[in-house]
Amino acid sequence: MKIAVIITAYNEAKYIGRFLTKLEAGVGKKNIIVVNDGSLDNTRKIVRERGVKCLSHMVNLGKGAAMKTGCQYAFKKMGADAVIFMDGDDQHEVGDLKHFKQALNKGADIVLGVRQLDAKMPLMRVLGNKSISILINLLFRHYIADIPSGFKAMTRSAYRKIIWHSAGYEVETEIAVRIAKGNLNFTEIPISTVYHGKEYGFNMLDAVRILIKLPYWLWR
Amino acid sequence: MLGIQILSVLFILFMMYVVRIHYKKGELPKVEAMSWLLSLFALGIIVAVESSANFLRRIFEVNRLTDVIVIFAFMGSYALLIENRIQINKLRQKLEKVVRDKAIKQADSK
Repeated sequence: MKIAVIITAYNEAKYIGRFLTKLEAGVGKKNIIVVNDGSLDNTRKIVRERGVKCLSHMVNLGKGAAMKTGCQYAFKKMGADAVIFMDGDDQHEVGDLKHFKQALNKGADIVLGVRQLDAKMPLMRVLGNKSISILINLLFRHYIADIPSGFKAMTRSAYRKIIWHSAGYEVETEIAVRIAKGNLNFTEIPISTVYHGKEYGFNMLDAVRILIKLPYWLWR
Repeated sequence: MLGIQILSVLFILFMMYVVRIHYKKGELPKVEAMSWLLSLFALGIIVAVESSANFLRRIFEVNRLTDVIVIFAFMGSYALLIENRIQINKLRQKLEKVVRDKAIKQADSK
């Protein structure tokens, strides 16, 4: 099974270099796609200098749009059978990739990374994660443990069933809604996460957007 | 003239000025600019001289002219809101496609 690793990055010059060093050693350059989502810093330059495939948005479209760009390239141009998404801020452990690959090779269509709810995860994030999981469970009778997690994988056929419309951070919730609503099979695996202070991309405004868009996803 | 009427007339004059500026910059077609100016002018007359719109009260059989204006204002606002939302969505989708296609094309050319 040919698997591409898609990294979405926006202004990640501080972390992308060291993250790619680890990733290249783990999966090899040719299987990595970095989607630089209109970064204003040196993200693009750093990625290009390393010789990794870099798709560069000329303006910032948002995480959902960047993930879609990566998928279109992976499935249409590279002929990948599956993709694994990781964030470009070096918060995911490259060592966890093998668990995703194993799950995909065993026939899983969708693999979702679940972060540990320990002291490292900020309290507000724990509450937000649990609230949205409970809400989706109430609506669809499917409990997805860590909806905002950006570490996930899907096959080509799963992508066709899920294809999202969200351009921003709300994409993770839309994917969860589509999985639950479509009654798609998914596997969850525990992942390690490193939190870099308060530099989180997801904010309260994104949470409000999710609540506004939820009825739209339910209907569509 | 009541304070609210003065405020409304000033707002209408300001909006007419905004329309004129955009027309001069070539951002509004002549017909659209004239339509906005005429509708703002008519609204200004109705606001400044209440008796000028008595015929509207008779047509819609309401006691207060304010009711007619508020209802029409809501109708107009919603029409514009929906139209703007549709146009923004269309533009967003087009922009996303252009940016994505360019990113993929550039990646392949290198």
